[in-house]
Amino acid sequence: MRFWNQLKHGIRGLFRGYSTSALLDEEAQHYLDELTASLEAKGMPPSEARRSARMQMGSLLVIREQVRDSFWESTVSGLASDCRQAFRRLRRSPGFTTVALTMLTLGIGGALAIFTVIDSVLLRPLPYPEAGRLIALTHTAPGINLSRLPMSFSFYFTYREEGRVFENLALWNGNRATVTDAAGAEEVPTLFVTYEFLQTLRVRPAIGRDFAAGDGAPDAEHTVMLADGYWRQKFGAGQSVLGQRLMVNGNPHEMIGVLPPGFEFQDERISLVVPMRPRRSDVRLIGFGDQGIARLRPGVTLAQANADMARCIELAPLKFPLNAGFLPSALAAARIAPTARHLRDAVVGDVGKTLFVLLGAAVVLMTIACANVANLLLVRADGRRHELAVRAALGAGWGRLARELLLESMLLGVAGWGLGVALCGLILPLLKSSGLAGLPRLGEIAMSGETQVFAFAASCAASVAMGLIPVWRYARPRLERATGRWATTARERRHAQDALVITQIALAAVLLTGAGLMLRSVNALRNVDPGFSHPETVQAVRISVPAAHVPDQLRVMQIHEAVRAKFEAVGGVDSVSITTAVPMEGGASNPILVEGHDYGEGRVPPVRRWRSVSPGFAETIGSRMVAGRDFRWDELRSGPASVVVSENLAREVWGSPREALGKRVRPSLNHEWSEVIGVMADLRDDGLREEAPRSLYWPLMVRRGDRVDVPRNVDFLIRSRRAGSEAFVQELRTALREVDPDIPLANIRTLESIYRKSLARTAFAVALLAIASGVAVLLALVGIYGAIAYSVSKQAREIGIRLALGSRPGDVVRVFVRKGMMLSLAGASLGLACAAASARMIQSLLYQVGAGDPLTYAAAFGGMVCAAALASWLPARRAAAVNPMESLRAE
Amino acid sequence: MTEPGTDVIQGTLDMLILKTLSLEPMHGFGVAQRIEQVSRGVFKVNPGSLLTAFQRLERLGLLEAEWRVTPNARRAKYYTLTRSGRKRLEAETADWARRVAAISRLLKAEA
Repeated sequence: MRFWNQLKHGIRGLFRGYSTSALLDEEAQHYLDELTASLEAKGMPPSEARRSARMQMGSLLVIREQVRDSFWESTVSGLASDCRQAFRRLRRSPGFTTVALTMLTLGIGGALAIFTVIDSVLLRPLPYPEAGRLIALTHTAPGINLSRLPMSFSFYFTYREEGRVFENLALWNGNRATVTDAAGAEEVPTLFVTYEFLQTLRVRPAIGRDFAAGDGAPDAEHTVMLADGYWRQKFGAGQSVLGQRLMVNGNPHEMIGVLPPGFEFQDERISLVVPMRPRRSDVRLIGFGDQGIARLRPGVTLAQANADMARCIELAPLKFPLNAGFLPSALAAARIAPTARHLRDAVVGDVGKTLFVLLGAAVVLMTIACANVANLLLVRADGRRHELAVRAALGAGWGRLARELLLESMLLGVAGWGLGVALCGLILPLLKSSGLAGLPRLGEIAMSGETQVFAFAASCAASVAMGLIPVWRYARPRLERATGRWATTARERRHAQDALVITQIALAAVLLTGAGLMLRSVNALRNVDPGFSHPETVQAVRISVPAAHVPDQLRVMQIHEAVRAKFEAVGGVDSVSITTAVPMEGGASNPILVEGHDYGEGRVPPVRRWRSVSPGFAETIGSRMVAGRDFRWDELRSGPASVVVSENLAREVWGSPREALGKRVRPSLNHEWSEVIGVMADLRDDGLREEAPRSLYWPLMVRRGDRVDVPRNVDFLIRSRRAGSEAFVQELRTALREVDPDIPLANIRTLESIYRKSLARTAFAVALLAIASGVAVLLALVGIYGAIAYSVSKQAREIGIRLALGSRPGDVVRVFVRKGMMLSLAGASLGLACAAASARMIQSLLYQVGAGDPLTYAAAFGGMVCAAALASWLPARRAAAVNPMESLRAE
Repeated sequence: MTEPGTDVIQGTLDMLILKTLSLEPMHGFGVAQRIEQVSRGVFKVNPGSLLTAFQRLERLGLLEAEWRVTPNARRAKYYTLTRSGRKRLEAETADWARRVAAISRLLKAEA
């Protein structure tokens, strides 16, 4: 109640400041009149009475201040008027204000944008309820040299039946499916999942029902769930589609539900969700091709989950029969171990390091900007030092002067925060639409309230820190005042300024070194031979021939060949090849047995990358045969079983490419031997940073007795100068339609785009670091320029005297350049030391460049010092232009 | 000139104002005059402190203010004790009496 009264009166006082003080004056005046009257009544003459009353009463003004100061609102209104004054002062010097605000805006906006990305991508939980309990079911198999082994149905059933830590678990597999209707065929991104997938994520369909156990039964009717976007686009969001059939991969599927809008899984925009229908009795032990997710029971830790999974893995061989052709010891030899991790970590992957390095860069940039602004504030306060000294002499408390100086930097800080948030609002959509970063969870990036509050607090803290430097110089309580000395010595000011300049140069040198190291890495990466050439002239398209549509395997091969012939006839096409995996898009890996090698009891042969290719694969991607020859079409149809191997595999197993020819390999005991007929140059299939995997190229079609094996999902690689153009793709589409109108042309891209993707993250980090270090160097140079220019102007008189006494202008200039050099040498040395200490953090982003690369360090040091010398020479020249007479007369 | 007055004892001004106003509503100068008269000139009231104290007491809800016309036909701010002001006065009076008794006991014991 009392507090409320205080508040009420205080606020009233604030808003009606004038009328309350008028009333107070009237009351005081009345008091004075009554006092005068009472003195007169005692017999004093009127004039004497008035004088005496005034003396007793004191100044009305003082009384008014005394009354007002005793309440809280006076502090507020004092602060408000100080704010107004600070604002006016800033407006009176637009140059200073513009420069300071620009720096703060860039610093805050940049740091905020990067922090927002980190917050959205790394820190915020996935958009599912209780996402912290979701894990990705992954394994390693060191025995067969596999760092990441996904899930098999045998493990899926084992975990379900024996696991003790899971609330739900499900398999999933992102793929594509062909949807056919009266309008034709299209290929859409599809998620194949076991039925409890959505339940595991705790996602409910927006309309319709979730999958139930029955939908996963092998003989039940096929069902499908539509994504919201696909439902709107294809069916105009009609409710009546539920219960109707959709032709997916040639089979009718009942549409049972629609996912909520915005549903995304693993960053994939999907159109359909189709349940897997495994038949438990057909499941064999080995067959790791699907991803697994699980929801842990409340309170279960990752370590407990991994322990439980390890226990289940022991049980799997007892529950499921081994695949034909595998040694009984195969599973034990693989040494499969669980490596479950939080689903968020699995989604985000290794992008965290890059982002934190960038955040570090942004923070450094912001610090440089703040140091620069602090320098400006220092110079400004120095310009006001006479005024401050006079006010202090007249009785202004140091607290009040400090408050004024601080308010100015606080105002700048708050304005910088506002502009920074606006800048960040501009940057984020650009970042999202560019997508060049290849960042996970890109769609979820948004500034959160907490981030903004944090940014506000950081801006305020930074502005207080900036403001405290001039306060420390000019408005701290000190002893000298008692002795009458107030004005700060020039040396004291210069020390503060020098420290700021050195800090800026050091930080800029750190960023410059980091950017240099990254740049050298990218250069090294660009010079890596990927194993293909001129990727911009290779078009890739995907074609799937569903089993329901074309059951006969031979017919599938005929379709592939017919399409190839049609594609070859398209204008401007040099060559066409068919493969199961485009270079750099990964491929399958299997253990491969080499004839004549004894792997020892219980050992599994090493795992090799493989893909099936048609003749002309090496020619089309621009690779070459190191030894032997390519496949031929006629032997593909009828000839003996043959294989092409990569150069590094040939060297590892047989010593040299030539030795490999004629040797025989096979993928398992119940396959027949295939003869090595050629050796192809290495292909960097796992990206430029990774060694080329040792690979095998099987022929696209394999005949075993009367059985024919042909992959149904294949990519066509087409070498043509017209690759990537819309008209070219349209002609390919027409050509395909002539073969079979029900097969869609899908996943259209060039090899170039795939190549770029493998460089994307490094290129993104380099681009941002380069920009950051460029801005940092510029800011640091502005800082040193300002410092030198300022000391030239301050020492104009000294220069004048020197020149008058016969100093040559060149000597005077040299004094200032030397000062700039000293500062930049000190700053750059400090910066390199910091860079060397922190370079290990970016080690994992580097490629073939050591974190202590001397060339980069030398270049950064030299560049920084030279630039600083130039930046100090420009203002120093002015010293030579000083007119001795004028500068002496000015005093 | 008037005899040299003593400043009001620290912390007792509020109580003296409340006591004075408990007799009848008064304006500021009236209160000051009354305190001086009743204390026989021992206490002199500083006008600034007095007006500040009025503002504070009003804000605490112990006083109510009203602009009225004085007997000599001028506008003045008259203060009246509220119910809670009266309660506060009783509490402070009792407290004060206790303290004075204690202090005089101590002084007597010393003597």
